[in-house]
Amino acid sequence: MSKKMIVLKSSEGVSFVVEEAVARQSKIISFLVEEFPDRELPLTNMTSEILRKTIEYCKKHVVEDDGGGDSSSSSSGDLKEWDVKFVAEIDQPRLMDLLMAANYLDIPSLLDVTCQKVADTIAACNDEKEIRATFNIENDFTEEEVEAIRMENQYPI
Amino acid sequence: MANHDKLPWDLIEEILSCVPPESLVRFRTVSKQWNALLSAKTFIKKHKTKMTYRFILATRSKIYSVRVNPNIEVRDLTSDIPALESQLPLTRRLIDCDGLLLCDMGKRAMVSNPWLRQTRWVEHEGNHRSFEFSGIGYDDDNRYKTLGTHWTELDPTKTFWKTLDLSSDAWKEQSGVMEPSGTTSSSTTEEGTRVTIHSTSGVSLNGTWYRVGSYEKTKYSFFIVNFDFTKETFNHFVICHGIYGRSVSLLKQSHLTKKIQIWVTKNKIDHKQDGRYVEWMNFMEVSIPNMPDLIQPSYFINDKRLVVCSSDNDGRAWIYVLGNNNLISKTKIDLVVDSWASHCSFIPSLVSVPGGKRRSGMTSLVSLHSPSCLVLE
Repeated sequence: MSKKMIVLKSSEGVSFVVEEAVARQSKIISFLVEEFPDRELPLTNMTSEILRKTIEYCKKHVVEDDGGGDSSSSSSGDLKEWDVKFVAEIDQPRLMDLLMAANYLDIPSLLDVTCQKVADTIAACNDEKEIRATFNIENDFTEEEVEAIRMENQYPI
Repeated sequence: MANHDKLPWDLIEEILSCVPPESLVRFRTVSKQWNALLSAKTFIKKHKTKMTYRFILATRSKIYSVRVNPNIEVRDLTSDIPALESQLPLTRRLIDCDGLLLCDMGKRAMVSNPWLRQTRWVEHEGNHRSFEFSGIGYDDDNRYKTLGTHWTELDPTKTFWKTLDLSSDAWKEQSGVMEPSGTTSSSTTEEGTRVTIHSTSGVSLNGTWYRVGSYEKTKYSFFIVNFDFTKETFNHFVICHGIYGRSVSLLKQSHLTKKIQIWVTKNKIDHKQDGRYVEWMNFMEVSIPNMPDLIQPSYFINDKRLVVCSSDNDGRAWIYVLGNNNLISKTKIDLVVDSWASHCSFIPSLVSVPGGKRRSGMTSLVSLHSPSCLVLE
């Protein structure tokens, strides 16, 4: 029996043909496939680059889930290693895009992996200025307020 | 790092819940929203579910965090617990409760969150020689309390207990006879006999304290006792023989065959539950040749693996990783030099130590509010 394929279209209008089982790891796509069978699914807020990355992740995970079963502690270990490598190769802005894509498409495991990677980056930041730059956050504290919080928490800055 | 479009706040929250507490507290000053988030109860709770278990080991002079990742990572926490050095030697007993660590030293105890560098001391006044701080937990209003127990030769059938509300520093004293729950007259040969609580084999779950106990006279007949911090009473949670370990999950090792069994409760449990109606199931069995006797083990289960910290016959600490009925690894923690370290499993958290001042670095002890409590200033 041939596997059922579906078509996903990126914001640039590029079509990606994907096995349904692969794409169904996204709860949103799973829902859309049922609502609109045999239709091309436009993902207007995802660039081709990010969509390609997302599909790469889903492909890897669907294969492992099929062959694994519950006795494969080593393969789940391998998968974890693969995940770590996968996110390590992506630069910060694209990682954020991928994280938002995982959130938008509702792929919990990809969201976990990308969140953890960004969290590791945060933990490695030297000070709050670096964090503000990364997340584009405005400083809404006065000098006195910052001083008060530091006094309260007395952590070596 | 390049600037980027603003992430939605719920995603920032999701990301921050994966950052370890010691890094997070440095970033309170990023923005008002971040600062508020780090104190929000719902966030603290969510954050804890993302953190991984580790062991805390206390020797006479040091406190260590031991992570299995999967290699063993040992970190010396002693310098994160201010004023500890003036309090040597340390105690025999460590007890965890939802992110706070209780270090019992008999008449005094230290309540600490090493990851936030917060510490306070609690002290018991009175001349009960048998007094010990045996537990920590919280009530339905989320007020953290410590539990102390003692007994007296004048009335050996009774167990006396005292609770200290950490935010108000108020003591409350009670006493009573621990009765097995749901006993009928046929099975009460132990009734009226003082209960010995095995403080090294216990756990706190959702604020309730569970320990393995036995009666003085029948030492090898074990059962689980819990302490409800809302009603401030002891309950016999479940009666079981030969079990050595925890309540929500129990680790049981046969003296004869060295086989290890892990039992877990089928459903979530809380302090209001009657132990008689809790269903248990066998979660894991490990039967390995040459498995040593586990001595005062603490453990956690992660990814279908059982990770145990135990002392050998010489008191040296070892970490065993077991899974699929196999011994995956066995490592002696060489960095922990002193023997017979006390230990517990622990999840780092953002939970603030109630009542204690957050300053670090000073060493003098000054009394605060109640004469029976000391706090670090």
